[in-house]
Amino acid sequence: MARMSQKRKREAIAGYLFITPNLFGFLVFQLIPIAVAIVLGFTEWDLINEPIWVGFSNYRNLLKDPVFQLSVRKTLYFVLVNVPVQSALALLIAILLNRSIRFKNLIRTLFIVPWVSMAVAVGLTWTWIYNSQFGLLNEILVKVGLDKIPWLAHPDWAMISVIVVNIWQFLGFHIIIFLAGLQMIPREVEEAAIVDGASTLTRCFRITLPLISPVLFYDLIVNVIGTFQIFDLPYAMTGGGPGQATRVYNLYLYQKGFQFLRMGEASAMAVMLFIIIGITTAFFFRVVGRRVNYDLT
Amino acid sequence: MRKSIVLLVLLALVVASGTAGAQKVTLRYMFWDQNQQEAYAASIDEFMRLNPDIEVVMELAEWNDYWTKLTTGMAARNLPDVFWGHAAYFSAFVARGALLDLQPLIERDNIDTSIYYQSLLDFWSYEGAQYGLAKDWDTIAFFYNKDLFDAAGVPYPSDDWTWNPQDGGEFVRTLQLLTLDDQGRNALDPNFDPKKVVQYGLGDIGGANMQAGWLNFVWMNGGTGVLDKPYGSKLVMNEPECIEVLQFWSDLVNKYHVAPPPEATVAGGSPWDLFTAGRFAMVPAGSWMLTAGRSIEAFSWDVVGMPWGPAGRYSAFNGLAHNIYAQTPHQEEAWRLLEWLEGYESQKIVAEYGCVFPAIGELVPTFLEAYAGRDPENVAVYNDMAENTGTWPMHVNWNEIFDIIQRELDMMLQGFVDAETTVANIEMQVGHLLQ
Repeated sequence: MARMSQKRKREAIAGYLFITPNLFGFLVFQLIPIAVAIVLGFTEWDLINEPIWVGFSNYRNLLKDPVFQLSVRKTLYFVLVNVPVQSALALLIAILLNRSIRFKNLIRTLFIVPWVSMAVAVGLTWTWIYNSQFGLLNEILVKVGLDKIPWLAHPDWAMISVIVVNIWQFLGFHIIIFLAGLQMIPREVEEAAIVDGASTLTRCFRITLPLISPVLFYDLIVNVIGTFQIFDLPYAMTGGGPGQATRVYNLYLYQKGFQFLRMGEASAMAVMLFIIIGITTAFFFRVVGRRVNYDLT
Repeated sequence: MRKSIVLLVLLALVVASGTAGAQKVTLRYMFWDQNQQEAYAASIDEFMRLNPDIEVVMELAEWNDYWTKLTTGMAARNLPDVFWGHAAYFSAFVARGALLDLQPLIERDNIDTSIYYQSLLDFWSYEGAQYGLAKDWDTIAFFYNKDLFDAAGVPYPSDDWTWNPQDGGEFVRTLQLLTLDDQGRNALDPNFDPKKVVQYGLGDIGGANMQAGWLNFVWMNGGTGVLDKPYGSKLVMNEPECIEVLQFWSDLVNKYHVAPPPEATVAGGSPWDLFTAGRFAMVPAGSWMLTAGRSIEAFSWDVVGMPWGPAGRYSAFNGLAHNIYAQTPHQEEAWRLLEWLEGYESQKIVAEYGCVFPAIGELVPTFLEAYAGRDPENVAVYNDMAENTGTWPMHVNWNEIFDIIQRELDMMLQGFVDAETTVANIEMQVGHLLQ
């Protein structure tokens, strides 16, 4: 390695200075708690008495626990439905918003508002809308002569109803990321393609998407990681019910820790989620990451 | 010279305030019911007047956050010194050593515990130690909206009304007359459309509502309840009397259509909101809801006792007490506060506000007087309901057990499974928690 030039060195120092506040926050509020959680995962701790070292027994118990297995399946389902639909919708809307259409700013704002709202407030509002007996949605269905739908009342419907709210709530966030990517594409590239006679679809698939593939990839990773950790919406909307229908991973983790006073098991669950997310992310980097085109950056 | 005098005075002030501050102890007091805030603030003001060396800070945490706050507080070794306890959570806390044993203090100070109802004291004893005295007690009855009864031309329920699990009896007939679809047809009308109900006879019958809901009916049908005995290790929900009642409870929703499925009241605002909005003609309500009922202005209302079942009339009987955090640095002061709050003078102050039935029997008339000349007229039925009471299920793993029971019962009430399967599902899941 060649020695850093004077300029690069100065830049590096400035860079570290810039990230110092964030790094400090990361250490205090993330890294230390993470380390504590890893240790607690090997203990039995009821929050009241001193933790007792139990080795891997929390992990063994969890792997045998049918509710734990169920919560893993529920979460995978959530991720598999949420991520593709949400990203595709956001991309479509971002492409539309990137053109000059009327009321562009108003529409953008409307998509951002749910994202900046509190998830619990959003969840509660939707439980009123979804309410099977007195809710707005079913009131409309009945008015137009259709049957009521048990949105949150039936185990077959509840999960999809929660996912729909999640997709809607964070659409704005993904739209912003995609818009930023789209605006990186130089106008000349697009114009050159038009001159060459490429159709809109060809331009989209051959030029736009490859050029913003780093952004697509980034969004995919962020979305997968975020969705694995879904908590507030099911917590506020269904409490994991009806029955076990929406009992996602983090909801069960929360219950284990704070309701059932099994903080050791809850910590072990957190560690396992970390591993699951780590493996998934590594998988995406290997499989999808290679095909990302970094020409623009 | 002048400068040094000023310095000396300042120094004296600092020392004086320092020692005064050291003498004054601040106690944190946590509770969950806003309806009782005013009454307890009055009592605590009086306590602080009598005990100038103690400062009490009241912290209100709503029921839904209350227990999470307590448990996280324990983890952080930062718990309020004195706080309200509830039978449903007591067993988990006491078994883990979070609460202070009061027995030595009771004996030291010769506290006369005979002024309290014995069954209330029993709630707070565990393995021979006593963790609370008694703050109040409550029973269950039904609140009903008189205006909706008048509009439907149904006579108000009488104190000797009845129910049975086979056809529901007088109880279900009353509810059917009070359940209306969007065309104003009641649930007995052959053209009644159960999919378009705008007003239900009954609300708040979810699986979570054990205390004011299904458990009372299990007892009234001759069933034991949930566990064979307090801290018992046997689930007795498979008794035929219990299964019969759970099926009846499901029928209220799925067969008679006189009550909404639990999801509709969990997600659609609380059952209480729907009652005060005139969507429910009746709700089962603990006596602690009486203060909340005072704010009802849209209609006139009253209370009626539980309907008589095949095995008579029963109510859950529960009481709160103040608990002291085992690790408090101010044990002596906390005990003085607890002694005051459970004592005669404080319970008298609180009873005069009419919030909750005092744990001291002698003060019950004082409490009832607070309701003279206002709704509900029959407030005394809560006192009658205390005649026959069932035993509250207690278990060190109760939170986990109840989470399972509540989920499975809700599935049943939504109409997906029958009572027998539900109980079998519960049994299967709670087995390892009961050992």
